Amino acid sequence: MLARSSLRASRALGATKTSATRTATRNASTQSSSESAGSWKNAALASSSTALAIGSVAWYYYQYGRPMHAMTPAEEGLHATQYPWEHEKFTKTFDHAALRRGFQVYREVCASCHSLSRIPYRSLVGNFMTVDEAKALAEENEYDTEPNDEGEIEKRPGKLSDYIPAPYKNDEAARAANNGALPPDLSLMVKARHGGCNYIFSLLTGYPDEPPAGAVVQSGLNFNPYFPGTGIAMARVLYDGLVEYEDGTPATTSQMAKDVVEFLNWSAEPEMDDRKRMGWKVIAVGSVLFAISVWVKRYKWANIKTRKMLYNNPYAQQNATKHPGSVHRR
Amino acid sequence: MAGVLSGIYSTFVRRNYVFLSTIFVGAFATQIAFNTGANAIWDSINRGRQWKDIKHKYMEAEDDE
Amino acid sequence: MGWYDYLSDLGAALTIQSVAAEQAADPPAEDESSSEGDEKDDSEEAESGDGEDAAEEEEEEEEEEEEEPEDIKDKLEEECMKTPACAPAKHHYDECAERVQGQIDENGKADEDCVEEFFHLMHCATQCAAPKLFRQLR
Repeated sequence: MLARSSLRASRALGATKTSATRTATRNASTQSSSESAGSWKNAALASSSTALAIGSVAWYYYQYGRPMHAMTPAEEGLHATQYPWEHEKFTKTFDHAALRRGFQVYREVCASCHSLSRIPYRSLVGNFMTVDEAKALAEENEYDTEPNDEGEIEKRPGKLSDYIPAPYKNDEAARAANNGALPPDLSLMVKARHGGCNYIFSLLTGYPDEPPAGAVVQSGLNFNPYFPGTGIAMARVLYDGLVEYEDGTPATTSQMAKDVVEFLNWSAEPEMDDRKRMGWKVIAVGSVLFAISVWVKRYKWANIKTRKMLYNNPYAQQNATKHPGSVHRR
Repeated sequence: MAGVLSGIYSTFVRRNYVFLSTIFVGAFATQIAFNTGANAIWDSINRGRQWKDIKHKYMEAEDDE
Repeated sequence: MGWYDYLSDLGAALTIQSVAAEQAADPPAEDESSSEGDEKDDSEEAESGDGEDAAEEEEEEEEEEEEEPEDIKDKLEEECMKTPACAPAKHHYDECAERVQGQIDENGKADEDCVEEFFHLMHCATQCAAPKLFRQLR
């Protein structure tokens, strides 16, 4: 009651205000009458504020908008080209034959310096090795036992639950054997480096016969355009025919690089096959459910969205005179 | 259409315990069917790439040993 | 593993190839059969009858496998460098290399390096060669 009466009052007040001041105010307009005496002031104001706006935009761009590079191209490293990896497609698994070949390349070429500590022998089983093959590989290595009754630790042959052994005892030994450089663990390398598979493939196959003219490479380092800074401690390791593949695939540098990169991708993302398969199932079920929920929502809302309201004007002559009490207030 | 729907209602929906059982059995059956179908499609898209497609080469070598 | 397992393994290994056979002596099979007993000779000869071709093929292939498979990546990239898309980058790099070489000859050291030009060139070449290379790899 109070609200309604106050609303009515304010409405009346507003009406009187506008009517009272209507003649006094004059907004800036394009009328060229003598009443708009300050027209040059208006023009000056308009042009100076435009100049200020443009000037501040230009100054902002000068300060913050110009392209800037944190590193020189050499410091950043050449960006790896996108190779058409089959296993990167949305509906494709790893090629497990390639994984097997890649693991062979890792074992024969890379394992002498790089560890793969997150991969146990049991994870090879059912992916690209049989149980017996994996067991045989595990047994080639020695591992420490749990302490015996006297607290002594002995050696035992490996079993499936053991992890792939590292080539060096510790980082210091690794550095000592590699001119002070530490060959990093490769288990997650594909995820750990910008560019992933493309980067590792390009790195392995990208060693030029000679550094480009004028490029100075620190002694002990090798020129590789893809490595940030271009000077990498690892020399080229893949050469044609270095490995003999079981399945007779010709072991060119590119083939070995491709296989080992796919293997390293598996090592970083062993769940990829299942993840993609499950992902498609989720998308399929989810979109069906989503479509159903859209339909249900529209079904439930149909009443509301199609309802119509009738307005009978309470101040219409007929209603007021005939039925004063039956006016709709909506 | 209406006859079919009301038939379904009277057999499956009217009694709550029947309704519940229908839902549970239906969910189970749908899951089996969907998984079988989806896996079949996945396997056909990835023919020759998975371990189960190539393991015969290496299992035979083991049988010889 | 006994002698029979050894023989059957050998036979299995010798009979996988399916390339057309060529003439030649068959030293591995013959050595085996001469060192074994009579009974084994029969089985060996039967196997070497099949395995002869295969053994020769394996010898031939083993000799051929001494040759390294040739990587086509470098060739593809060189061809790509001649295409009109990458020829300018190659040109710029060659120019830079000459310039730098000139600086080295005159001053003993270079004032600049051609790393950026090299990057542009390699980027162009590898992008062009990438799909072709992968089509040929297994």
